[in-house]
Amino acid sequence: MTNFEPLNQSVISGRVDQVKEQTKAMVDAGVSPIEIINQGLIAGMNVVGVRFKNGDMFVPEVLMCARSMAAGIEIVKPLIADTDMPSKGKVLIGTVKGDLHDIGKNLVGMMMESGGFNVINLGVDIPPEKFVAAIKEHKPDIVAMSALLTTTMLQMKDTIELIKEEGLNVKYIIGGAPISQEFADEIGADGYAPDAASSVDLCLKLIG
Amino acid sequence: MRSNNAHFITPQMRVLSDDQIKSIYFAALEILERTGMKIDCQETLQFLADQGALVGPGNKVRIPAYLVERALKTVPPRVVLCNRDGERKLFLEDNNVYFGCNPDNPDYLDPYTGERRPFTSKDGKDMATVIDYSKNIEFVLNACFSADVPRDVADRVIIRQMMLYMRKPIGFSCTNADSLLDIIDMAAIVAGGYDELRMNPYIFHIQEPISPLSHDGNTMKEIKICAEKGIPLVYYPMPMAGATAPATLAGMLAQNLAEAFTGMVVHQLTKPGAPFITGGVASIMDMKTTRFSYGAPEMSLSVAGLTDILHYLKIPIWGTAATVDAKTVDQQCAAEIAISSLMSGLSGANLVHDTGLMDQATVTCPEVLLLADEIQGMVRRILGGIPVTDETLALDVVDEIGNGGSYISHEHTYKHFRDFWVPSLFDRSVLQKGQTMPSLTERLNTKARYVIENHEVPPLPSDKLKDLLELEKKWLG
Ligand code: B12
Repeated sequence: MTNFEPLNQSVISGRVDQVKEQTKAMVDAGVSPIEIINQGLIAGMNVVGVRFKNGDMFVPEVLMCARSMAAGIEIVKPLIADTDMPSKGKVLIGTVKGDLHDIGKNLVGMMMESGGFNVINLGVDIPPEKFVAAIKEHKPDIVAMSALLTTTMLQMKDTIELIKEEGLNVKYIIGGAPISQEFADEIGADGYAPDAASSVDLCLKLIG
Repeated sequence: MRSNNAHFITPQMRVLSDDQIKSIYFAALEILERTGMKIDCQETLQFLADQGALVGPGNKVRIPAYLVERALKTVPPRVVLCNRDGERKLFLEDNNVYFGCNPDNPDYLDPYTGERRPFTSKDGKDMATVIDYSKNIEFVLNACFSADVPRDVADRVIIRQMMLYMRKPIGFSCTNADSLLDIIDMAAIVAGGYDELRMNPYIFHIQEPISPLSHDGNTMKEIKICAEKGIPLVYYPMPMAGATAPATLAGMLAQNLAEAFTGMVVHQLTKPGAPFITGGVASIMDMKTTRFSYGAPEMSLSVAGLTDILHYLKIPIWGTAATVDAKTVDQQCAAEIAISSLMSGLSGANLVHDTGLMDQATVTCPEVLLLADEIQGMVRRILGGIPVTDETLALDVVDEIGNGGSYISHEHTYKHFRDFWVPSLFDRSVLQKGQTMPSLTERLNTKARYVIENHEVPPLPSDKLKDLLELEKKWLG
């Protein structure tokens, strides 16, 4: 039986170098790569998620934990077939047309990555057509849209409509300061989350 | 308020030494030369290249120090803003401090129902009335929200409300370059012509870089319009330490300055001597909620640091104060207003904006303006300082009253007691047994409704009103 506790702890305290060393040592000792990811790295990150939600950790700490987890994954990745890589799903994220606010969107992207999602970040000022083209290219499970301006919120509606017109099958989630659950319902989005942490739960709920 | 001309009388605060200022200034120049800026506007990139900047792939431009120094040579050390009647009122120079507020916001706390709901143009009228009444609120900055009109005309509708229902100088951000031109047309009607508007600016425009180190194409267009038409421009970033700027305040200030300089270079090289103001809403990201904190002590400190730097460079200063994280008019709100207003006052930022924004710039109300007006009155009194002259030392009076006498009926007291600050809301009454005092929140609400219902703002002259309503047909149909 491998003891994953020390690796969990290294992820929880965000020690990148230590995570790398311990991961390498486990690989050398012949521990299954999938187990290293699930029980060593992701298990540590799960604790981080809970602590953050309880208000016991700050965002930069969470992101450092995510970085240490990613550093570990980097090491075991070459040993696993792509199809066996644990991923909770693919998310395409972008800020809608006319809107240049990207801090919240980027944070949501980072949190989703640390939650085990594969995230493609399109950037800001993304018109509906660009979302459509990116969906065709990347085939995501979820399209996540961000808007911070009351003047750009309606772009979300237009984007969803165009995607539906094109007959593409994805889930839609939206967020940003002026967005509410009512607005999400009104424009036919599948979900809304008020902050980055809950956006991860939302995705898990939608495709879990 | 004008700072005391005898400078040694006005209490002043510095948070940076001369050497620290120079280090930050040179760091900003280094950022411009080493990392450079991303500017999404081919015309501006070409313009800067012609002036000697180095344009690279990805819309990136590296700006050499001499271009900044050239802009600094032509940027005017002062800008004067006028009221609706064309009177020169705000002298943005030196340590003069003027507080201003945001009349419009996505949401409004209705003083009649207590409800939080979307802001409408009718609320714009009520806010304007309260602003006209409030002595210490000396200008407005419109972000242009109004839920009752189509979104793309909200900017012009809310600015019209300001022009009609209050008399103070008007700052604004707007939808795009076209609406900027419309707003200039509106202001020219009120000012009595374009030349008059240029000589006695009644409006100013704000635009923002996108931290870190990026600038939007539309922004560049608007900078150019302001430079050419002589409309005072405020170009300032909103960096968030730990998110869009270094977590250390010195690094954030250097980046803030570099971003502001980029606008200044484009603006001054387009039209040397055009009126320019800069500063920053430099704060931190709250690392639990990830929100941009408007009430953080780091915001007051950073803005004071920028103020020191801009005094040194002799550029009129855009300050920030009395904007709060509190969600309603409560104890937190009052504390956040007080600390930031006093910090700005003592450091001498010129055009101090954002009074009355609550819940991270998403909601406002008349009560918060009246509360800030009261607190800023106290700040104004403190900035009056302690004049020391024969008259104020009053040695003859001291000798006359002598040991154990009273000053209360003396002529010297009669002459000077009016310098004392008199509260209009804060309570100093003597409570009788069994009597209770309504809370400040209640008194604010009563006063807000009173002012809305009773304060009279002289109407705009009828010919100007007629022209304004005629012009409006262009966008209202
Ligand atoms: C920083 C900032 C800017 C920066 C943006 C820099 C950048 N790189 O993004 C600059 C200076 C460029 C800027 C410009 C403007 N801004 Co601005 N800005 C802000 C500010 C202060 C903070 C926004 C922010 O980054 N917050 C921190 C992040 C982490 O929070 P967040 O974005 O809300 O994201 C969180 C959640 O919303 C959620 N979330 C976000 N996206 C998504 C997506 C999904 C799918 C999900 C599930 C969740 C989710 O999770 C995030 C993390 O927890 C807000 C004030 C505010 N209260 O929001 C104003 C604000 C958003 N801006 C506003 C305005 C009006 C503008 C301008 C028009 C001019 C102006 N008045 O300042 C321009 C418009 C430019 C444009 N075309 O987009 C208004 C918008 C009001 C409205 N509802 O319409 C606000 C509210 C301030 C105000 N009252 O004036 N702004």
